[in-house]
Amino acid sequence: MIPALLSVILQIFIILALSPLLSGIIKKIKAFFQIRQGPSIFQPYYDIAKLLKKDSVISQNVSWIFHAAPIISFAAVMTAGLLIPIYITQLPLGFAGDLIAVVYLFALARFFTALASLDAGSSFGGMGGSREMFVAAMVEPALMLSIFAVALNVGSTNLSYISQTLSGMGLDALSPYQILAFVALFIIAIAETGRIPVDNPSTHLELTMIHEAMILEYSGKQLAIVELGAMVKQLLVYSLLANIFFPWGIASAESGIAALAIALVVYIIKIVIIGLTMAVVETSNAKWRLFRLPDLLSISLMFSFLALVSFIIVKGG
Amino acid sequence: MAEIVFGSNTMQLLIALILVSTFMILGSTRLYSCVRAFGIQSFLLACVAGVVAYSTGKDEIYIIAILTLLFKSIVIPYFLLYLIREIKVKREIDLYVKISPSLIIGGVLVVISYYLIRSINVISELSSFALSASMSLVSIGLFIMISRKKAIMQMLGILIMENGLFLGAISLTNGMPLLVELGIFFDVLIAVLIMGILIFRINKTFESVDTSMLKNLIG
Amino acid sequence: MSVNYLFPGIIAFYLIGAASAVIFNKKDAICAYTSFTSAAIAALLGIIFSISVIFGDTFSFDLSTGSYLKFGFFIDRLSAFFILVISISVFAVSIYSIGFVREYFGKKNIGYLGFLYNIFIISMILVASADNAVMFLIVWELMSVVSYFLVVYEHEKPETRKAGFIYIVMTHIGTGFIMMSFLIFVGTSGSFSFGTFAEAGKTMTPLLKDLAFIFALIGFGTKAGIVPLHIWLPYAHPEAPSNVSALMSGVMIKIAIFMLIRVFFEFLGASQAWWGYVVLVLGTLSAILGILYAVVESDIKRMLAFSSIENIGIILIGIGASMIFFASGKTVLASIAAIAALYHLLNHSIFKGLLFMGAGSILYSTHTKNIEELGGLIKKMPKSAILILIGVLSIAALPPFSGFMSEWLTFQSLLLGFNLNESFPMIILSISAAILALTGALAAYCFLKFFGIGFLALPRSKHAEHAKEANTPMLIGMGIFATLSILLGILPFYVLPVLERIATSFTGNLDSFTFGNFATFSIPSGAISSEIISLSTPVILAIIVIFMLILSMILFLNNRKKQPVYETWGCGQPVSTSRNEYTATAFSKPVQVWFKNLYRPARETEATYSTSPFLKESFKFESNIEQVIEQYLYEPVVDFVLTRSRKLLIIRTGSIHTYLSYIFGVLVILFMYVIAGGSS
Repeated sequence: MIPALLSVILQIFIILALSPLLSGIIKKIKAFFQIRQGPSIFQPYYDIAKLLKKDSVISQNVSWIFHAAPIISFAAVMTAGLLIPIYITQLPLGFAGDLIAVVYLFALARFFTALASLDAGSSFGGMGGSREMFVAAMVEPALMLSIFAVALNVGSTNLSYISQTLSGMGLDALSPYQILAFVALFIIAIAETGRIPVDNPSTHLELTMIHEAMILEYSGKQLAIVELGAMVKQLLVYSLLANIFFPWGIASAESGIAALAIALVVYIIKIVIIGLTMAVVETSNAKWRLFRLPDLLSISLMFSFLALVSFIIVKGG
Repeated sequence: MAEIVFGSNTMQLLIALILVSTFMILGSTRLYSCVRAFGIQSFLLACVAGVVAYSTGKDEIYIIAILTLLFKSIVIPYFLLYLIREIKVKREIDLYVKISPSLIIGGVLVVISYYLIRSINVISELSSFALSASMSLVSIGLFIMISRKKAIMQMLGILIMENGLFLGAISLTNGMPLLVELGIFFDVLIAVLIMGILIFRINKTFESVDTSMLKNLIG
Repeated sequence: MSVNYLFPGIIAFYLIGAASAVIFNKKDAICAYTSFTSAAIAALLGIIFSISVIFGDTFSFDLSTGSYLKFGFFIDRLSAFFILVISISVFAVSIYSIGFVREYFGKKNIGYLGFLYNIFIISMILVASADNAVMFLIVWELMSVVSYFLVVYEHEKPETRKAGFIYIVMTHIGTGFIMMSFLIFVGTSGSFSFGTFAEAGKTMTPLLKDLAFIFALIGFGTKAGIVPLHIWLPYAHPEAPSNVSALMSGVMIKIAIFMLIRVFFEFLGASQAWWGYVVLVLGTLSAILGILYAVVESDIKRMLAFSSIENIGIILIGIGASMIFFASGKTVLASIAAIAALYHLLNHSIFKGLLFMGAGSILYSTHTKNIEELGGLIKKMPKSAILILIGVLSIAALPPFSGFMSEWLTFQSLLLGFNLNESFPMIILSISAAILALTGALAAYCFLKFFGIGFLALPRSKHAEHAKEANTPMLIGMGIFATLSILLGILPFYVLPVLERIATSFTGNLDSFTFGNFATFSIPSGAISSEIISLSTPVILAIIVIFMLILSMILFLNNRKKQPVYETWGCGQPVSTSRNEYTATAFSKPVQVWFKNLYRPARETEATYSTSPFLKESFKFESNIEQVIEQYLYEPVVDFVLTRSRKLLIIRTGSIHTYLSYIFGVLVILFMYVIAGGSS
């Protein structure tokens, strides 16, 4: 039993510590598939540390929104992080929000980043912002249907309850509708974290950028916050995938230190496996043209719809 | 007995994956992906037959499973790929109905199949999942034939319909007598061969396998 | 009881406002102060009155004279809620108006505006409190006519006149259907009083019930702006003066919802599930179509009008779900869905009012409502910008603002559909939830475009360069609504008990919510499991603020030196002009391409060149979006009606003799009817 405040601080620390590591690992795996050395898996840490020491150059056109946006976005993403079960099912602050609240907190973060992109008055920003919101709009219906599919299987949208119930069900948790919902959410995760085939995180061509174009004007400390925020969001999205669909190994609140440590290790393994899958998907696909993306998200929508329909068929009614 | 087989989680999983593969065919614009997805679908179908054979203990169904695996999952896709390479067609399929609307129509067809099956009083609710899936496959196969322009896709559509009927047969009657199954297999094989030859000829004559060009045959 | 004096007091203050507008109409400033302040005071009284009715008893009194002209008032919890919504809106908008009408000083007659304004509000209150059909129809017509005059206040412009015309025709078509619906009830019950309609609803044949439902839906739906009866909204709301638009969008269309709830739940007993499905489907359709047309608009007020259609759709989704649950007997679920709908209704009147007032401020200071001509307003109108930003965040349903609260509740009530154990409602409710999610995301997209292009970066035209801050009354009015938007988002535990009392007055079940520590509230999710779904927006807000403070400290702690300021990056090219900025049309282009089968954009380009076709001197680009429903549904019908009516013109010969012979002919027929022993 760990006291609530300690649990919260521990969760914040784990999230902040692991996010850059996850980014680095995915880059390393991609490099491996492309038969190159690639940067060290700790490179993102060095990058953020470097950025924190640098000055920011501010455009002369901006208003307070430009300065406030990174702070608000990061705060929103971290708040969502406190609502997601990472290594422990009972979250001290879990009563404050459920899965839908998490989705909308991500939307809040995205809203302010996109707003700030318009502030500098450059075409890059406008393009990035409009594309980012466009992709977000496409993702929403599939996301909501997947949430419904998961929630009605379990009976609630409360994240602690979902992972707790599913980890108790053992292998029965791998029912067909869960798998279909997982595939749908995986495709959505590609869109939310800005990976190929939706967006290329390492492109330098503005016509192929979505997320990078939005944050083009940021530099120095603000850029560090924005980059870290994106990495944290990626970790959180993967955590959702891991702990909703494969929650075994997660500790409950009454476990001792040993169980918590095991839960943490299991969590890291799950995240790395999801990252590996993502790297494979990225390497085996090319970035899609922007206006082909609705097709991809329709596929995701169909999977979540199938998940729902098969749930209804199998459970009767 | 049939209820126990189809109620198990593995069976539900396999049928769900079969539906997934069907949607992969619907949602793809590349010929290779469609053929590969069809191969996976037939493989899953063979697994379904295998599970049925395992739980009912009838050995003949094992033979059917192996035949499905051999022919539909290996030989026919290989033949199709050979065809595609030989006639050197463009690897992208042209569509009458675009991807997003076709996916939505596919979803609607699944729901309609479900309600159709529900209005028939099936023995148990659990094999109704298999039956709705088989109806969905038949209707989606027909839809693929309607909405894609390439002749190869028409072939694929017929093959998917046949897969659907196979799934329905397995779930209703635990497989038909071995002789009937063998007969159907050879029929399918010959049909594929004939369609392949026809496609060769169409390609030689018209330099294209775009079936919308067949409209030019009207006087 | 003092309550008895409040209601006449409210009406009295509005009348004082109207009268003083007429008396002082030559002196603009005094006129503005007296008429609008009077309205504000009346609104305050209205708030007190309605709260006391909601927590107390229903209020009724009768001013009937004789047995034919009944003039009675009946205010139960549902009516009181709508009077509350009206009063809250009127309070803020009236204060705003004091500053806003300075725009019209010397140009137009302020007394006229003040007079119509107060009468309009009285008519809305009377509509909410009428107790019989005749009085209702009279004040409904009064409300329509007065609002028509308000819409055509700036009648110098031909667009305004056209908008007024479409509005008056549509609203009368609606009134016709309302009359038909009421006549069915009157025919069954024999009395015009609303009190007898509930009994009549129980004894009617199913066919009559269905007809009453359909007529009421079409009639009140026209006023509410449900697709496909919405076409007047995007014309009328933008052309009216902004303070009037705030009231029309915020309050008047909600009165139609009020009557829909009355008719469906209380008169008809919401007994048929298919009614609920129709309402749900129409709501979903209105929501998605409304926001799709809003996304591609560059005119601020038209965009807000389409957004109102979207939000009415969301409210109807809640009501439709409630009706479906009610028809299956699940009254707890019905209450939750109804509470979600009412919450969204309240939230929408506030944030839409705020946004319309914001549009009015923009119009006031820049004299343009085209987003393409704005930009940089956040530096010229900083206080208005923050208030409008709060409105934008609420309408985009972002936590912890009010819009998020009501959309979360709507999603949860749709999820509760899985308690029904039937596949058809589950599928329909899930599809509706998916479309609602798409709507929410597109709303965020649309309003991000509005605020981002309109307020940020550099001004795109002279209009925007000369913008100035709005004046104090306008800021106070907007500030009231902005504060309410925040409060309604983070203090649900004050709002929900109120809404619960109202919803249960027509769905009939108490104790749906439980409140816990740290301002959490929980929904019992019914038959699926007894697990609680909970939300606590104050805690979310608190966590966000704590993180923000920590981050700000980290960021600004080491900033001893000033940050270098430089030009925006433009690949080395000079980009300090507004010509390089993104435009509103460009921002909404991805959505326009995605849904091009709906929008069917028509594009016209014209280029002129002198020496070579590659060196163009000038280029003209025109892009048009069709209004699908107007083009394919209304225009054929209107053409049909007009061509047929033209054929009837042969009756009008212009000669007196023919007209006299018409009268003579009718008289002869009547005589023959009497001779044949017609009526006894």
